[in-house]
Amino acid sequence: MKKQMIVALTVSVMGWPLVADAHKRWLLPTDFSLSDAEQVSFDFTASNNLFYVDKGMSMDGVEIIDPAGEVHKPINPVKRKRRSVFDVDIEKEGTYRVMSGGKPMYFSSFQVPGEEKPSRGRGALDELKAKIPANATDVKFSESISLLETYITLGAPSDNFGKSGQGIELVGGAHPNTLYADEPSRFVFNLNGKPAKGLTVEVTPDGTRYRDEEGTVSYTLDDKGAAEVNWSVPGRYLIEVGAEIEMPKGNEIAKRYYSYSVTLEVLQP
Amino acid sequence: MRKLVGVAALMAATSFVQAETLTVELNIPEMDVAEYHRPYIAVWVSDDSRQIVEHVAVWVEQEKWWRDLRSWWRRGGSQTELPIDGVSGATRKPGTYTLTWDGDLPEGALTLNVEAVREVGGREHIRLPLPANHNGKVEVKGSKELGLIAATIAP
Repeated sequence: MKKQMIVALTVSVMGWPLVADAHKRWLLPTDFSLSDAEQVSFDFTASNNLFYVDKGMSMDGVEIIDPAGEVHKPINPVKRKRRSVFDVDIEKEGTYRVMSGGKPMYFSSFQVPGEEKPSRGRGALDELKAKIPANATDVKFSESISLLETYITLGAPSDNFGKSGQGIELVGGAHPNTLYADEPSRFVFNLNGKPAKGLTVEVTPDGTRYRDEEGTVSYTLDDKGAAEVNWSVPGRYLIEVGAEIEMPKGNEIAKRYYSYSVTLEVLQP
Repeated sequence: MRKLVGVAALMAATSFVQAETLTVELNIPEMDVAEYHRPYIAVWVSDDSRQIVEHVAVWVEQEKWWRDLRSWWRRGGSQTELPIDGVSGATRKPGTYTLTWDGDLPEGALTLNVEAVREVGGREHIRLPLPANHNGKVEVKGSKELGLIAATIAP
């Protein structure tokens, strides 16, 4: 009986989107700070080790927001087994934001009588609803907003934080391209346009393959959605923030998942 | 307009000592290496919050690599329009150079920064605190990319 319960639990956990894929997902540019207009190349991949490519990601949702707010698509995109790569022309003075995701995605889970495992779907909410068989039981929908991003600056840094008001976003604090290893950096996050208070920020330095521990340091966001991060070493870092919100019974969406990650470079003092 | 007001407020909040002379002696050492390129060098004065107060020298070539003077670039070089009259110029060969800077410096603790970076070589960033009363001489010897750095400040 106990064994059965564990199996059932595992299956249901697997059915949810983010928990199923525990890999870190990241965008890594060749440069974070430029003094002359140039093309910057990106790796886009999911992996357990930072920053070692492992699984190429879809570039369909990749957008580049230039300092003037214009949106560009990646240049020379190639999806390979272990990494996806693309280029971006960095030619305007100021800060570019390179991002993927940030828009709601929906998942369904339902049991068709007589079938061993629950069925699952992914797509727009209306389409998912249309595909649920009339005799299905245990119908559940979940929503996920997942944003991955990084920042590149040509010349003087400018404010180019995302402010869509959807999901988790980095909205202020230290500029992502002026970070120094011996100076704490304050970052401010929003969840759906309001301070993301109480969420956990996880900060992991590059090079996990060459140490015994992940080296992740966690911070809890204060009432303003802010945390002051202390860097252990100069180098590249991945910062991740996530939230799972169980919705009240009777809500059409049973659970909402939010995740955010940003790749940053921290300079030697 | 807003920016102008901000600058005016800043000027009012910081008191300046009149006309100081800063003389910097800077040595670029000879390198016994197979492939030598002259270093890019930036010399600047910073305040106690590490912000650039004055650029004293910026010796660079290709714009693409200005960013490799990474402290200077990110602390404010990136927000500065080059060339700067009497400050910026081409890279120099090994030797000792004397730089003279005249002007008004803010009161309080100041640091002379010398950053050197060499293609296929190393990087060195020297921070030399200037005398507290803005009067006197301080010096330090670089460890690799820079030789002796001496700064004299006088009213």
